[in-house]
Amino acid sequence: MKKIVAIIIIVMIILTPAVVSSQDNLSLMEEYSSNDSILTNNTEKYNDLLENRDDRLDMYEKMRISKKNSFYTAQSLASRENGIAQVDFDIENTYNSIQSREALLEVNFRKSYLNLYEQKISYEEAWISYTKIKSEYTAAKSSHTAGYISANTLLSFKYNSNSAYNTYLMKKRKYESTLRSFNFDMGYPLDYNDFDYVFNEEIVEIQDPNIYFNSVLKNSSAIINYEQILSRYYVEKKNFDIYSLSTNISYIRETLELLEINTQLAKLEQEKLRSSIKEKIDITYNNLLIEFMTLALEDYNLEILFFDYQINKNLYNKGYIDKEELTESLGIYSSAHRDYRLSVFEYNTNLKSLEYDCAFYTEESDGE
Amino acid sequence: MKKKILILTLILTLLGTGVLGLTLITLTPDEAYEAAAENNVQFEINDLNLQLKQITHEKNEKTASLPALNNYNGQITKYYNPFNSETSLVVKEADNERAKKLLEIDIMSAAVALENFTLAYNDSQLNYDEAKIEYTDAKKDSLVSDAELMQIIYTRDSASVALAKSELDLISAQKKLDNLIGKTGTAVVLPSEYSDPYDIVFENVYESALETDISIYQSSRNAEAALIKFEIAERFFDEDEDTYISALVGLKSAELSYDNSLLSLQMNIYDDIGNLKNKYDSIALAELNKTIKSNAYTAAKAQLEAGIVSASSLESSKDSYMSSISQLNAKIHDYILSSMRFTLDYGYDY
Repeated sequence: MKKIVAIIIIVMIILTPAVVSSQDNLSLMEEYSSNDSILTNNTEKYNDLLENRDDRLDMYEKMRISKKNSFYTAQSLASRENGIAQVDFDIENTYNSIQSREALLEVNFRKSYLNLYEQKISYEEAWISYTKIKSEYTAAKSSHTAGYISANTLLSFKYNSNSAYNTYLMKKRKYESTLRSFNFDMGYPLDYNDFDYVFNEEIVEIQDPNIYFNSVLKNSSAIINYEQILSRYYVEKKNFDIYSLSTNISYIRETLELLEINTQLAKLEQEKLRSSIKEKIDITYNNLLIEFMTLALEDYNLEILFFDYQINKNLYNKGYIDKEELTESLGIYSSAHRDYRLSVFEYNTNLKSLEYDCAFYTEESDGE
Repeated sequence: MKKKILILTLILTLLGTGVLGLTLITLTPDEAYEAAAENNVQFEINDLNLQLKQITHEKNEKTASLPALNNYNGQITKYYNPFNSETSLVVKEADNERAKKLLEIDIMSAAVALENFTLAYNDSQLNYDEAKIEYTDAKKDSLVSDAELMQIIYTRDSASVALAKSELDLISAQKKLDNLIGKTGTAVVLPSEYSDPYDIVFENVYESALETDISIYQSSRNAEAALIKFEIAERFFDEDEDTYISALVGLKSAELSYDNSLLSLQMNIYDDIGNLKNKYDSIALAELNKTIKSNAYTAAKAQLEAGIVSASSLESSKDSYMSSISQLNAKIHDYILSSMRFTLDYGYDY
């Protein structure tokens, strides 16, 4: 009985590795992001744009207006107005790039961290499997010496043992390769492996799909990009209208015609983008909904496995089953519990991925 | 127990969407295409892009009609630029026409997907109903232990999640077709007639493709444009000068590219005829499978009457037979879609 309690305590320790878990992951994630050159460049660019904002505005405000003819005057007035607007567009766009990069890095970090842990488990399990098969081979050697099994059967045991060892080595090498890659992204020494591997998150509930869609319309840089293009065309149109340009002159007629076509094109491309985003959100949302339901199912499966374990404990106490069967029952429950936590972490990551694709930044994930 | 309630609540929420099984309008392929083409954003975009190409070409033609300087750049402006913009214009026109034909295939593809998801949904519904009955029976049965009951509940809830997934897939498929057609609750009559690909003659397809394949036209025009550029370069530059060498390399590269595009076309035709034959053959196999399952079902009915097999065994035979019909239809529709793409790609109807 004392041994069983000890096993439960060990399992609980494995399943609850650290109390300040989320903080640990957060600081790791921050280190991961701080090592990203694109984010660093964007942040520097953003600071430069803020710093030089007044100078750039001043440059555009002082831009020379052509007096050659009304067409050139309208064109240069539009260029000046668009230039002034572009100063803040550049700041807004760079800020959006920083936010989306931070979001992408967080999702990538979570995926890489989970993948690293899964590979660690995989190679550790391969080692356990190998030791078990190896002990069978050792026993088979004794049986062969005693004349119970043939040389060929012994060879099969040897093959299984070597094969399990090869599998273990392959998985170990794969884990080590993933570890090196993860450490490279983190900026750590390539062989660093002192990670806590904390995956004890609560399930985050998915919101109404319209909330994500509205967020895209409001914050997505792809949609905003078309709005900026359109606003530039509107400024050009407004200035051409003010100067009531003659459509009898071919190059003016051609310019106005091109402006009209390009405006229509930008509007339609924006509309097309909206509907494709809506379709993508719907699909991802549906997948997440199923993932969410599957989590509930996995949780219920845990209840079943725990109930099985309780029954087995009772049977063990009455002497109907041996200790090995009881330990096996606990092992099944423990690994299902661990897999459930990993599934929750994966689901939360996928939800974050959807949120970031929709430029939906909660306070916690806001880069500011 | 809380989790089970959660799953069921979600399922009920989904079922409340009311999209399923509500076909409001059934269209023929032609009617569906007309409706889809009416407010197609991509067509509008294509038309506007075509207008841009037209303006560029008109501008190049106008410039070319003016007296040109007798130097390299002047001659390029006069002969090479309008030739190229004409190629771009023709290619764009052909692309737009192709996009229209592709819409027909997209509609048919979405309609086939809708049919397949409907069948999958019906299967899931059946599984869920069976799991529910098993649970109801088990609850009443005093011999079923708590542990067994928990397992049965798990099976029922798994079936309900599978049903929810099928339902979401079905709703997505319906939305996709509706979005294409621009109406709600649509269904399209799927074609059932198809031709034999063993009648296709490679030479006839190749001949047809040479006349209609826009990438072949483009490669051929690119080679002609490269020749124009080279002839101009030849007049103004020596053989060791960069512009001459560059024009010569451009000409050789364009000629090679044209030869390669002819070879690629031949390879693609051979591959596509082979694929059509594979798909056509798999229809014959599916038909044979249907006959076998039909015979088994008929036999099972007779055996049930004779009391040799149980009712559940007959149900199982019926399910297999129905499933073989679905598989046959799926193979036929897959072949018809490939056949439509073949006709579109090579301008060859069979």
